[in-house]
Amino acid sequence: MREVRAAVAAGLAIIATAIGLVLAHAPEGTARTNGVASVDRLASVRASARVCQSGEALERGTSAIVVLTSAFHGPRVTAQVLHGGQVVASGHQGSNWNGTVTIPVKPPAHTIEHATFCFELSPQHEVVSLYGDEAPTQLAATLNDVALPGRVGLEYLHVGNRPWWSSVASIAYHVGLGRAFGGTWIAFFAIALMAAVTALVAGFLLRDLRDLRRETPS
Amino acid sequence: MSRHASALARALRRVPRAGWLCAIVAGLSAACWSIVSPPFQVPDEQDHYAYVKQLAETGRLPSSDFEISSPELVLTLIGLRYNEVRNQPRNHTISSQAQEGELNRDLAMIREQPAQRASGAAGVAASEPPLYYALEVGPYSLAGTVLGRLALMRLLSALMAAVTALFAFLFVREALPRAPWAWAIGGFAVALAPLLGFVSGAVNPDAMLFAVSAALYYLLARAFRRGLTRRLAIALGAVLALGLLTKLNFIGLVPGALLGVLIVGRRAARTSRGTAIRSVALACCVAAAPAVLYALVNAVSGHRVLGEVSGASARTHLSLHEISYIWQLYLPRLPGMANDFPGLFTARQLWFDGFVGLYGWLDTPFPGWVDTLALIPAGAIVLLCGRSLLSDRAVLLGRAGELMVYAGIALGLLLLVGLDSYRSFPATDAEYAQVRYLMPLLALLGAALALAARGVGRRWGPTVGALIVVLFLAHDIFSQLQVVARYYG
Repeated sequence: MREVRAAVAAGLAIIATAIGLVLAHAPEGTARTNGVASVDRLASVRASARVCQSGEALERGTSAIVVLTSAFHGPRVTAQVLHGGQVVASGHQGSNWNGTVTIPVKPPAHTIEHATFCFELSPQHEVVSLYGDEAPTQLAATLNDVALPGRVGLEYLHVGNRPWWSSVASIAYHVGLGRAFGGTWIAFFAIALMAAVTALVAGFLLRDLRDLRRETPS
Repeated sequence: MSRHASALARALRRVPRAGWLCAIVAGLSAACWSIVSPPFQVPDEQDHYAYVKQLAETGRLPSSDFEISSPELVLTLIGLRYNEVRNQPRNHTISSQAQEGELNRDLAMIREQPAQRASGAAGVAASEPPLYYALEVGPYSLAGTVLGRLALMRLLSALMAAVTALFAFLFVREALPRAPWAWAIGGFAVALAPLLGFVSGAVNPDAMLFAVSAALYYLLARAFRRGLTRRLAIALGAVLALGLLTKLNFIGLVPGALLGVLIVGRRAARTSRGTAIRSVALACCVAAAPAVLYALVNAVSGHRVLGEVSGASARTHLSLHEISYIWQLYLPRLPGMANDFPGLFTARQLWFDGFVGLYGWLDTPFPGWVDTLALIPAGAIVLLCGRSLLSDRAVLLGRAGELMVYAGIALGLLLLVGLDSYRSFPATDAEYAQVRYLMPLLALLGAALALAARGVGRRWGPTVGALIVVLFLAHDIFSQLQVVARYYG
């Protein structure tokens, strides 16, 4: 049973290392929006569609762009940021996203003002709704070169500077809010529950599995 | 009565320690999920809550599928920023003492007002049978606020996760009697399946459906291995009745289960024809009793005899397009089929990625690379399971009837989910393509994982089994961390 012991020890060590790596990693968060609220449904799209919107700005370090959409199993989306007719950033999101779509892009080295953001939805049966707010025709987004009644809401994401571990205390505090039995203790109680689960599972695998194996007829 | 109680106590004492450990692990994991998932950020939880409120406060079933509910529930949802958080992954739950203070003030104001009766509306839950909700009336009555009630109701669901894992363990024990170490591998893997914890850590009748379905698999496996006794026939009938009273989706499992009862009955007839016929009849009568009662009540009160399922039961055949759609919902498109899912590899994207992780209001997935990475262990498990089945093919041939029943139950459920999804197609590609709807097959997953561990042979089996369990433990832990990051990060 040395092999089982080694496998369990290695597995638990990998889990602990992975948790450490996750905690050392900085989360992605909303750096800014394009100031368009998700007030109206601007369009519902079923066939393939190309939506473009001028007057956008892509700040240095932007790692993803969120388009305010709604879909149950969204189609593949490809996006481009254009400046002076040149593609300065691009990215894509595969199909089967739900709700809003987040398109990762390669972070630009410097801020790009007066950019045009375009995204293209691959054809599918399901309807994708685009959300935003009313705007004059000259500022409005276009759908297949036809002006929509307003601008589409966008959010620009950045990878933050602070790793997850530096937020552990605030996350624990946050977990304790909006509950019947509130307080930071509840986050530590949840950790204790999963620690108990881990201990029970590891204990069984290390101790009892050997006895059960002996009971197995050859 | 005391004779039955002592028989039950004896049966419980015979459950191996490993079975109880699986149950405890599943219960603790689901209890942890009940903390990690913010209130009402689990599909349809507010509707299930409204159903229980309706039952607890009026003693009547919901009368409408409107989502407008009691002022108390509406104020709680507003206070929790429910609409701002749902389907908007960058928005977190309330994060300051001021927001919580506002929520508490609103709830206190509601409590000071004259009691508000339930409105009769229960959204999507309104058409579901009442058993799970009736059980939840107990914890509902123990607390005085929406959030207090919800926390206690979630704990009852977590208890059902423990029952699910216990029956999954017992099923693997009956299905693979010669490998005691493998029973625990299947049982623990089911106990640690994150989707079991996620759903059973919330107010949702699926929690009970999983438990009843696992019990059904166990009883059928027991009947195939030990023969259909009168007591087992009653137990099978009772479990079928419980399932039908728990959630409509259970209907998908019934044809396969009835086939199982008939096959074990036929085997029993080789010894005593009369006893076998009586046992099968007993199982069917017990199973049908609630449905007959329900139909009678509907007939007397002037409603459709079979309620919600009347329309579906009137259908006698599937159209070619429906068959094509259902095929493509699970499998790659065949030549000649119209493409119902352009750009979507359903088996991988809807089902596999959904199993790897899709939490909250289906708005909390893992990053795409995790789904891709997960293909490696999943592929290895499938290969090992296949190897095990291949090496046991002689035994399998002798158990063809039993395997056909397990597969029939699974197929019935797949068909039901496909038919339901087709009803909303093409407005939505696949509304019910959610892995939680397939979780009634968890016991089969447990058996498949136990087989995979056996697939490497006697020497390395326990080691690979231990790795599978640790893999599921990691899956559970990181799924919960993903949910924590999404809602509280």
